[in-house]
Amino acid sequence: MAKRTLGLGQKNKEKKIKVDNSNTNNESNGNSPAVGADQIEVEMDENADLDDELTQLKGLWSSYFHSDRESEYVLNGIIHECDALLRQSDNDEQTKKLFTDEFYAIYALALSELAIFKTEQENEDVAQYFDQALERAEVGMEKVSKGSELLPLVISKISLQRIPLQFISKLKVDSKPEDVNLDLFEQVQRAKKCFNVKKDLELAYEVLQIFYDLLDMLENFGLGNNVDEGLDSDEEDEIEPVKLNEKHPLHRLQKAIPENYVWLRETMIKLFENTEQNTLRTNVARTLGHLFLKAAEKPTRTFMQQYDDEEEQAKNKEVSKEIQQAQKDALTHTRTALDYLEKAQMEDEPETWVEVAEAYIDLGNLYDYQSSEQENAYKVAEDILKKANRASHGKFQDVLDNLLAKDQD
Amino acid sequence: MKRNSPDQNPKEGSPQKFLALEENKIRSLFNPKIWDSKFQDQLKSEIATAKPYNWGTIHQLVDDDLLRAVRKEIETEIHFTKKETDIYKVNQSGDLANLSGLDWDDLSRLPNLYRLREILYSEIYRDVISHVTGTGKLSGSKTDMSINTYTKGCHLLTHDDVIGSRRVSFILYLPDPDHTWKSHYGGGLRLFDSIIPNVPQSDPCAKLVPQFNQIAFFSVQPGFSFHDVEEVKVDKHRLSIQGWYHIPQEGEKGYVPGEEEQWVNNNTSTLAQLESNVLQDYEFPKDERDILPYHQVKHYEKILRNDEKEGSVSVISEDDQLSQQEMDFLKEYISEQYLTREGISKLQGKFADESSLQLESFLNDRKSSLLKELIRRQELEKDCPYESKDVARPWKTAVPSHKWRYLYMDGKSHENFKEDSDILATLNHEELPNFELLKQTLPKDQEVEIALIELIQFFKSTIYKKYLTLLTSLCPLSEQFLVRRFRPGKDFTLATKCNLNPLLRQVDGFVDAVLEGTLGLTPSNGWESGEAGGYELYMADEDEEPEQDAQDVKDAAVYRADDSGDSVLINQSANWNTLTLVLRDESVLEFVKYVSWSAKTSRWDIKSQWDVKCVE
Repeated sequence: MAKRTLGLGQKNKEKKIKVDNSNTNNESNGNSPAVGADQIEVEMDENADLDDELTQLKGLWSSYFHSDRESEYVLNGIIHECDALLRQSDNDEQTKKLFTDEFYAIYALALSELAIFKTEQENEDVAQYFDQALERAEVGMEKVSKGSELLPLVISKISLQRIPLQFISKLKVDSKPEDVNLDLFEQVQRAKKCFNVKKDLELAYEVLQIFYDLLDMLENFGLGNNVDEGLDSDEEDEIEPVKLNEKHPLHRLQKAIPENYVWLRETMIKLFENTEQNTLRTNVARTLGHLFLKAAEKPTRTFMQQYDDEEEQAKNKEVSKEIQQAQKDALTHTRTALDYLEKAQMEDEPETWVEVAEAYIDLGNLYDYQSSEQENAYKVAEDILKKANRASHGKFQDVLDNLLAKDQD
Repeated sequence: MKRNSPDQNPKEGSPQKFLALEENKIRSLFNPKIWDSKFQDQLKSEIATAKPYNWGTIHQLVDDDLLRAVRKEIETEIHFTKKETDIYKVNQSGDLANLSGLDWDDLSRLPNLYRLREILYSEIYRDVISHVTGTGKLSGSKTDMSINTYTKGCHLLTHDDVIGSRRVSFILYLPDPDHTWKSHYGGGLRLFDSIIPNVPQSDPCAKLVPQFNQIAFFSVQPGFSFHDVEEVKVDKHRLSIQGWYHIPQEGEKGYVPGEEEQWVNNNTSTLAQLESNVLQDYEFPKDERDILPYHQVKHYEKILRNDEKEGSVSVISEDDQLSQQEMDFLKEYISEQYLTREGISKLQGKFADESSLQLESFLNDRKSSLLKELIRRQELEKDCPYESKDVARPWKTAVPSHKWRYLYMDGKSHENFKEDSDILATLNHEELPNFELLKQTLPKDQEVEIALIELIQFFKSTIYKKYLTLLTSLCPLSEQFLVRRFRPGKDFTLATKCNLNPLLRQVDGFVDAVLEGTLGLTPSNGWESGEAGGYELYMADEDEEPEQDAQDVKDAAVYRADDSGDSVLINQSANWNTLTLVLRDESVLEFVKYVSWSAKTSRWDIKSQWDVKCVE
């Protein structure tokens, strides 16, 4: 009779028995940590000097920056290494040479990122992490290079990152000025001043994203969870923002939302112009598309009001100048959005085609009713949606249905 | 892994501190229309003629304020845990039945929920349900409810709810009361007609889009009451209270001694049906492999046997290594790293140690990129059939839908079962796979299908089987190949054990395990986290006690994964070009998780199986 080979399940049982036995035998040895546990892989440049401590640090930070950022362990490692190098430099002139602006940037950014983990932990003073992060960046500016372009960008990031995490999350609609010990408006002004698109474009994009999120958060402050559905929300009614008392810590920031959106758009365009043809450029283009669609919202609403109120329409047969201007502004913004969204299209991502289609629908809505421009825009949108629907197993059927229903109206 | 689900046990005859509401109060907490005999008669007649089986629904069932208060309590006081098994992904709360067993503090935390449960199990309301469904009296003491919230990605696949003494199933929906729940959000209750009892159709024939304060209910009909919960496709919460009315218990009105026992004995659950193999003939594709001709097998035997070779002249040499000619043939498809002497010897050792192998980049770059481009184009440019009636040659739909659903090619004639006679006709004229014939009869523009068939023809070759013999040190005796496509928002397999061929058990050296190979051919990324489903899981059935009878099977889920993950042996995401080889014995369960609507593309693979023997 031939020897029986064990299947996966039987093998598993056999191994378990072996493991159990070896555990019993090794009880006196205590638990030795498993080899390989918590090891991370760091990708380095081909020509990098692997023995250079700054190179190692840069590799570690880059792998964290490009990861899903779930490892507090790695951040602690980076901070620990930075601390150790600083201590070592007291007696070692060679080490001092490592302290470039990149060193201080990594140190500060790691501390600021660590603060995110701390917000989720009880009894942690998040403020101290941000304070220390800013301090490191400022020390770097002072000691190493006053002309650094990287460190101001880092300061910009930390200043913006701390606002939601350290402050807004704790504020309510009826919060008092004394609930916040920092001038948040000034923080934003500082962040804008420090921002630049000269050195690290990926980081710059991240800073602008944080700013975009902040503006969004300010707009929706106090609205509860009505807005948490994001893209899946099919709420058509505009939600009125909560008006804050003049003394509220966020009042000034809330008032400045429109001008800050203008700044964000203009700065994002600068970033786009500085970015080469790559994934970052596609992402920046997409965000610009969203920002211009956002800019078109208000004039679009003004323009659409004439269709909402038929009585009003009958009364004022002549379209008011205000509406004409709104139509013009909305068209300009929507066309610009379309331009960027087209640049952000990706061959394998039907969602990115659908964004273009939806912008065409917006554009169609802005043209005169049943005009050839409107029909054309809807037709282009329909063709894109059909293609995207085929490529995504009918994921956009409801968008297509809505559009076709509009055609029949 | 457990098949029992203690937290789903209905509370039977437990002493309950009911805060008995007066009948008038109970009446006032329901929509007054339900007490109107005209309304009841109308509903009764609708239910009696409903398709595909007797089911009904009532809008605005209970007092709006009460249900809003219940919803608020649930949101603030109840903790949900996301659970995922082969059959569902859902956020489950604890059992509600022991609410009355809680102390007063806890009771005061959930007073409205308590009141809702009391009125839903009140005699006057049970009598209405009993009347309109025509099911006979229902138990008020054996309460059985649970709260689930289906968030984006949650689903519950097809099952019939036949468990224990359940007589009527109901679902009271509590999505956002101020907004209409729309059809394209998903989360619908879908009902399936049956081809014959216990064999549901592939696609649902009715769908209820749930609204706040709407109840849906049906009598539990063994072999017929198949339904599922469509995946929620958007970032919204579909909250519901699911419950069952049971057969009256001793001491209650309508109690008939022995009735429950008889019901339970007569009606086996979905699980028992699947396990008993009674309906095996109605499963397609069959979990069976075609026996290889002996003149071929004898070569593999000789390769594995150490004694002197006869040196027969054939397409393969009987050496325990690849000849140049064999190598050249294999190189056409397989990456060279897996064909070198060292490569093979390394894999041999690993397979002997682990009874499984995972070979990344298995196909060579040339074949891999050609095939990937074809499949990617197919995904992006061609419509994929979503209903079985639209599935056209050479693809077929795997049935029955309470076991699996996916598209497949098996090299046999096309079939598209609509009724019993179609299945019987196929069973009467069984055929062997013939991929060459299938390929020749396909139009040239079906490039993907042709390329995949050619790949299977390669895998069926004698030389490839020699290679497999070398990797595994096992001699193949039979084989089966399937090209499978799991569509997003549609397809899955439930956990099953392998099915050994009893005819081969007598073969000397027969290994009571099946050698299984899955070559991942999914052209998209984003599968690693498992959120989009589509992963193939091999797990140990640690509960190897003798088969439990149907009475013990409490849950609709066929198998429930152990959350600790201890029982997971292999978890392979949908991927491009990884071959997973597993020697799967009868204690191993395997399934492909339902592919989420949010997945970018279908999961594609080639599934192969071989019965094997050892040779000394």
